[in-house]
Amino acid sequence: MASPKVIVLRTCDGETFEVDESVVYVSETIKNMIEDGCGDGVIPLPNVSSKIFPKVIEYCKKHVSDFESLKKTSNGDEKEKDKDDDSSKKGKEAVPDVEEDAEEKARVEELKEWETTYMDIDQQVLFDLLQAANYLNIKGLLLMAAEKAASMIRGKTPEQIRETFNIKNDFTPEEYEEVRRENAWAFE
Amino acid sequence: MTMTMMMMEAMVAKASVRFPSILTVLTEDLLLRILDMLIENSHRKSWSLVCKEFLRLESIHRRSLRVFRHDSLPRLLRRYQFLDLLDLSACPCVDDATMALLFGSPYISFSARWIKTLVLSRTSALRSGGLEVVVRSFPCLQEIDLSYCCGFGDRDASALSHAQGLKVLKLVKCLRVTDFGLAKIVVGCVKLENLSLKWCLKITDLGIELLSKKCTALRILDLSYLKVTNKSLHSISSLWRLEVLYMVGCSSVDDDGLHFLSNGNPSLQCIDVSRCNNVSSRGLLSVVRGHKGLHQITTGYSFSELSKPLVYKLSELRNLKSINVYAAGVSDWSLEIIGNNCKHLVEIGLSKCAEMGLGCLGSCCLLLEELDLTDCMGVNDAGLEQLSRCMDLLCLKLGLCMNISDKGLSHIGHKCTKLLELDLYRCKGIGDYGLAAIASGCKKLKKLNICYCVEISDEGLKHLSTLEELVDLEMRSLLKVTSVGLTAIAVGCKSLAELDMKRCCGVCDAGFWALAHYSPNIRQINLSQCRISDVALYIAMGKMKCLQVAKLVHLTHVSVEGFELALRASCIRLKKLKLLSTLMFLLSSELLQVLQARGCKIRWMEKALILD
Repeated sequence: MASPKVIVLRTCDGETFEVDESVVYVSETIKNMIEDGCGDGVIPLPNVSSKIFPKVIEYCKKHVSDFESLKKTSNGDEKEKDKDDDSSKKGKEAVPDVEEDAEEKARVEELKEWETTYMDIDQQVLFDLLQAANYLNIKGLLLMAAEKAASMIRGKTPEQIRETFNIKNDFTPEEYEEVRRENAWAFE
Repeated sequence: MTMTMMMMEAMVAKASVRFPSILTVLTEDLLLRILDMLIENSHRKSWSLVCKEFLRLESIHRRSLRVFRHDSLPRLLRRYQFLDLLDLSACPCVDDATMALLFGSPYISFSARWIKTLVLSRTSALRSGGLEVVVRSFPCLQEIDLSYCCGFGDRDASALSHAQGLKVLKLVKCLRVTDFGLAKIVVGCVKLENLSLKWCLKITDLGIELLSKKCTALRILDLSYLKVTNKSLHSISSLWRLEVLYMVGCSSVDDDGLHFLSNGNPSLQCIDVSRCNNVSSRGLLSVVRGHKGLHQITTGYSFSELSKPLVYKLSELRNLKSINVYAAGVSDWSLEIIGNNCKHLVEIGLSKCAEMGLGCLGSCCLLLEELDLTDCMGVNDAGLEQLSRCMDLLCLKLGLCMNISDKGLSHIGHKCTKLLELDLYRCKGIGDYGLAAIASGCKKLKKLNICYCVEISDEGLKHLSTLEELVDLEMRSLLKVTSVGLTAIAVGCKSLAELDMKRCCGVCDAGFWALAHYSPNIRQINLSQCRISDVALYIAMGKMKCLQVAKLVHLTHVSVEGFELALRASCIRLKKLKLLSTLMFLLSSELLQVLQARGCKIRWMEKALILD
């Protein structure tokens, strides 16, 4: 096999990063840029900072092998986000052979552990990650980050949510009461 | 003075800004992505109360709405402009006048423009007039559920037939529909893909014949309990797109009829022939032979045993995901053959299969999600231990399994952590220790039935109180439980919406006060034969603002005045009531009139009190 091609990318604050082509291919945005012929020069990423980029690359490196096997079977990451599936279970859609079942389970377990450690980040980093994943079009990372943000909301009262995300309550007491009452009794 | 105050304010302001507000950092589409992940209604409601922008986001994001009070409808339809699904089945008194009033106004009907699915089941007051309004006001309507609308007849079917975009129609137990009404529908709604005529007893072979000729796009068809004969099966076999066929309880159909199916319906994937008295293994075998792509089979209550040829043919179904065989002798051998060969099995129903052993399930059916072992005497602790290896189990029914105990249940509790539903109806061997195991391991449990598990005491309920997602709890006749246990449940099970505690005679007022205070979301309650007093009933019925269904039979400690006051306090929201028939003459006519006008249905029970 020929040595892997290295892509040079420049973040919005001028720093450059050199990353293997297979790793950056996890980002649909970068993949499209390379396929459009920009792969030989420096690829500019005006919406991504040098602070968050390494974190994104860490994700991409971990998910390269997933992506490689997907590339072989279909054209790219076609998995539709299922609204009813409230976790980003990536590998579980395909039905595995029984012999590989145990291996698959171990792999999924390990990935879950890695994800828990990876997502142990503060709010600022989480938001940067959300924006970067959105701009770079990395579906799995976007879902994971959105899920983490959602987990910071679940089970909290409105006041606690405001506290967490530093949001001002702009309801008047009457407006608040109206919405609260409607929420409580009128619908589901 | 003012300078210090200003400085102090600035300091407080600086201290409270730890991160910039999420609204300034994330764009609308990212916030909507986060909202995508919030599926539980309680979480979404908390979101919408955070600030005006969050409220707006939730309003544009929500796609389905289940309304409890029809007087809230106009405001709700203004709040939610992008709905796909509107469910009015829980609204008392939806009738022609209501529909005309709501959707006659162009402003409100504008917000109905995207609605594709309308659930109007049990709105028995709705007639052709109301349905005409519906068809006019919902241009994108594709799916409508009119099940259990007992007044729905041929004239109303005619009004419905103008909904030309209709793809899904559910008419379960619409007893007055005849072949004539069905004909109107099949001629008008040519795009029909999914039709349920379950219990529409007046439909005959003639109606089905026309259906098969006109609705060629039909994929899903439910003919359960109809008096149709083999002729209908002959007609249906020409539906080349048919994927799912439900024929529960069709006693006029036999093996020859099923033989017609074996040669037709090339797309068939799912079939249910349970309770068809004249169907045997032979009939099912011919269907299975003709359809290699079958992935769901339900049968039972009709033949006593799966024949060997049938079992072998079943094991050849590579795509089989779900098999339900009720009250038939399924031996370990059959289960092993099927389990070993059908690798994708996720659902197995073996209710009443007496000789079941469970050894092979734990080793070959690891993808199993749903398992029904109701009334299977062969189930014991060792079997449960084997079964606990199916760690993807979502729904487990062990009702009437007398040979299981806490020991076996604790295996399930420790390993089957995804469990959502557990049925332990009359499992006498289950006690507090078993509940402790379930409560510590199955944190996502939503539905639990522990009726008649008389060993359970307050300790067990205290363990259950850690289940914050529990929605439906049935705990009839738990005589050892007192107010302490009920209070624990009320405080801890924050999502509780349905509670059946009939005959829990050990609970006194303190428990009911706790329930009233801590469980505001309860929608359905059965307090029959409980020792609740006038005052406690009044407080409970008054404070439970979401209460819609209440069973209050044989409340021996409640006087007539007590009932009067309690029902007056809750009459605006009640949809169904069950009361002792003697109250019919003792409650004020004014109250009964108000209840009726509000759309509340009252069932008057003649049952005599059974004393243990």
